Amino acid sequence: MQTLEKVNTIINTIKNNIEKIGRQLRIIEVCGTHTVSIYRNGFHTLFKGYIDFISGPGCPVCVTHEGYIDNLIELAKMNHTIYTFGDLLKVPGKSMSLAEAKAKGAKIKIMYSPVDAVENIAEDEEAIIAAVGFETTVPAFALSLEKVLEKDLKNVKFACELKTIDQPLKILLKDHIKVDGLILPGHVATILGVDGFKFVEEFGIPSVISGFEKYDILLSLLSLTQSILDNDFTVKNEYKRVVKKEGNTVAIRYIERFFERTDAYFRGLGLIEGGGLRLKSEYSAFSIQLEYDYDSLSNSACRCADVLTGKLKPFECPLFERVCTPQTPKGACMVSQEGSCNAYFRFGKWK
Amino acid sequence: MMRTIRKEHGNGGKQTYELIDNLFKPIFGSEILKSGDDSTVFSLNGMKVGISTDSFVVKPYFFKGGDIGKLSVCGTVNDLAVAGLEPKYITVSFIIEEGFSMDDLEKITKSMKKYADLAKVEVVAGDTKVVEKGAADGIFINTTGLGVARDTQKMPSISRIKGNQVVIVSGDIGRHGACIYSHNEDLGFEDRIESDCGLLLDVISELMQEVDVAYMKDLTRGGLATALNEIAQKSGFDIKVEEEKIPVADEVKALCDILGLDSYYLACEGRFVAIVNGDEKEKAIEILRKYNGFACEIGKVEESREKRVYLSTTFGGTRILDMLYYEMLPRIC
Repeated sequence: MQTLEKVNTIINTIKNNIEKIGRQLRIIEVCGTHTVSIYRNGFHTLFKGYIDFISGPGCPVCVTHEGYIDNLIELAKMNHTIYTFGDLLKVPGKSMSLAEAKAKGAKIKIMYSPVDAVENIAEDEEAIIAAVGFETTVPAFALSLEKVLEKDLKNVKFACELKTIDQPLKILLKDHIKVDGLILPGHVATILGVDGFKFVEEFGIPSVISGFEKYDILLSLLSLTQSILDNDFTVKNEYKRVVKKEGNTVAIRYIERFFERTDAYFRGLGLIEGGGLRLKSEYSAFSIQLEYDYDSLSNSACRCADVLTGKLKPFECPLFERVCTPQTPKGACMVSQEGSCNAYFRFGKWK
Repeated sequence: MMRTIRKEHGNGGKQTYELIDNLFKPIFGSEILKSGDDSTVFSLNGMKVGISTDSFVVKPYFFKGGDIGKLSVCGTVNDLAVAGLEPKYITVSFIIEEGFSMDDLEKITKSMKKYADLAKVEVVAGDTKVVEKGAADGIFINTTGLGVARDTQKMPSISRIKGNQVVIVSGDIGRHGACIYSHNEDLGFEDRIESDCGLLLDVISELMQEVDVAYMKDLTRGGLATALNEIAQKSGFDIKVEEEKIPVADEVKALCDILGLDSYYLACEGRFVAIVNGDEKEKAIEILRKYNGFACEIGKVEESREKRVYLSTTFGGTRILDMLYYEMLPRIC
């Protein structure tokens, strides 16, 4: 009961801060896990009229484009075994998803960790590790490549579609979006540290690194509304139990040892310079060359780009609920359980 | 594009209902079938009887707290029990893959017999098919049960649901789904989470003797959220439940956190929700707690009629609690 009293005090303080600011705030939560936590815990109704939550481009599944999926399916047809995180299964390719390809007999296996996957690959398997994710998952792929090198495995390759968080955020903040504050992704910050998000300060927008539990988000909103009130653009860290100023230096070294920057295509946002990571040239023997026709990668009716940039609410998209549903996702934001359209669809933000 | 069956069509969620409503019901065209509950109650020569059928494809066949044999009897018996029926007879059908262990088959059959005896149902007919290796996955079992009304004056029915009634859950949720998941994912949880697979006959029998229960539904595939949505759809009323009150064991929560699952959608195989009038809730909870200490009130039937289920969150927000939309689990029952 005492906890709930404290919670109510914090909620009231947040609302008081916003009343002092004098307008409804537009706050972007960059990470999909935050999106789900915000809707799952009902923050969108709790702060209705006070905060307009906008979902950012930080869901790695959502921004994985159909060209990548098509490449994986083609590789599976050539008798490769694809090892993938489970949430990539539903991402639509041009004609089918990995889940549908699996139902048709393609050798697609779900992994929880690429390191474990490498440990269990059979000698007679031609394995391809689907390397997808932001900086959070990159160290795991680096570790699994180290293991491949240690074991001298010749039958394992990586299909890299890894993303970096800074470039899409810079583009969003510079060209696309007007927001009062940012909730920054705690998982990526675990790797990159508070220092990894210092660039946000240059845009003159308050921000906070947040954890994912409901209490984390509540405290982050308290900190963020205070920053907005004070015009304080310093990146705040409300996930101190996990995120250090300098980040995880061991993980960063691993990333830098094996990977280098490259351009990357984000579903919904297009090709972003320096928005991805690829294996360095000395490890090219372990990398699968992927073929993309970027011009064919957008669904003209799909308004994901506008949703991801806060110009449109999911239910304002002409495809939402009519043809675009969690079972038949047409665009980035409906694909993953952490996509904003998916969260709207399931948790009913329009209520 | 050719329409094909996907795994989601069998997960007990939205797509299962769409398949039933859009394909099976129109083709079969039976008026009785359209009432569409897990058991169908009808009059036969002046008697109120009910019938229910269910197939079981769970893997692994043996799990902590049960096995496919126990599940196949409990599942059908519980479907009859929540409809206010006393199960009397059951049929069993096996589809077995060539090469299946005879010892395992014997163990499964003995388990079925044990729970049929406990439920006081007699196995009166059966069938066995063996298919070549690869044409099935080990063993599939179908059971069909027949029961008679316990009390024709107090039959639970979806039509008896009305605004302001109380929603009670008979115990903590999600154990069976979590148990099967822990077995399948090799996470070292196998000995930590016991399935709730079990018979509901005694608790329901006592509850119905003491309380006039408006409606009951056992929680199976799709879990609590899907069951509540089905009740909302069929009754026409909204239901509002409170996050803080829904009982979930710590080990189930932990597994959900690790694997990104939602306990509201995890299967149960020995839990049910009961809907009762407010003045009977204390008595109902008291009875249910004799059998499971977690039994409690979780919410109420609203006066509004949008056929939705709402969840009040711990901090006072509200969100929609929808049916299961995606494939969350391996084969669970």
